[in-house]
Amino acid sequence: MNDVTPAAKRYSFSIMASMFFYIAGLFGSIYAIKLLDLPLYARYGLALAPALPIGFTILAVLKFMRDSDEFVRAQTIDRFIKASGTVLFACTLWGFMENFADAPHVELWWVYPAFWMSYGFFSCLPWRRL
Amino acid sequence: MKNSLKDLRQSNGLTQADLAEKIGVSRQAVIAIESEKHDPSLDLAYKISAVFDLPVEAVFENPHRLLSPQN
Repeated sequence: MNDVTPAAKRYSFSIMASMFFYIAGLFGSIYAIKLLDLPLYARYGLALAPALPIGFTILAVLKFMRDSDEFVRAQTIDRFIKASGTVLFACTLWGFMENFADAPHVELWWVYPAFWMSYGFFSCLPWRRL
Repeated sequence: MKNSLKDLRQSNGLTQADLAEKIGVSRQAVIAIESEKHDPSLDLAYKISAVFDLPVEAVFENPHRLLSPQN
């Protein structure tokens, strides 16, 4: 019995493709910065190389929500909101800790993996409607 | 929402996957509805009822009707 829906297959493909371009963009931009003497504006632009695929993964999730049945959509939205809220709270808290208590600085690109770790945590919990 | 979906499905010889395919949802959705973790939308409730050729309230218990003055 195959429980994988067409929406899930499209989502998996989109994520794999985005992650491929993310890794390529990340390593490519790091090597470019190390090997080439790039002006500042070019280095700002290079930041798009790993970031744009990350943006596409968010679009892939939103498309998955839209293409799924009502239950999977409700469940995904619920987890997405809880994960977003958790990361928003954690980032705000840590930001004030950095300002008030000189807490160690955390790079902003950690927000994306933190979101998915939080999403994974809420996915392991028995699902309850918000 | 209380429902008799599991009993109806089994008495009609359908698996969860069969029912899911008939109403156009995932097997997860059927499991969630049977275990009363998810209340189906009106459209989905009508689709489910149509599979068994029953009115919606024969499949899904109307919690509001029990509270009406007539009862």
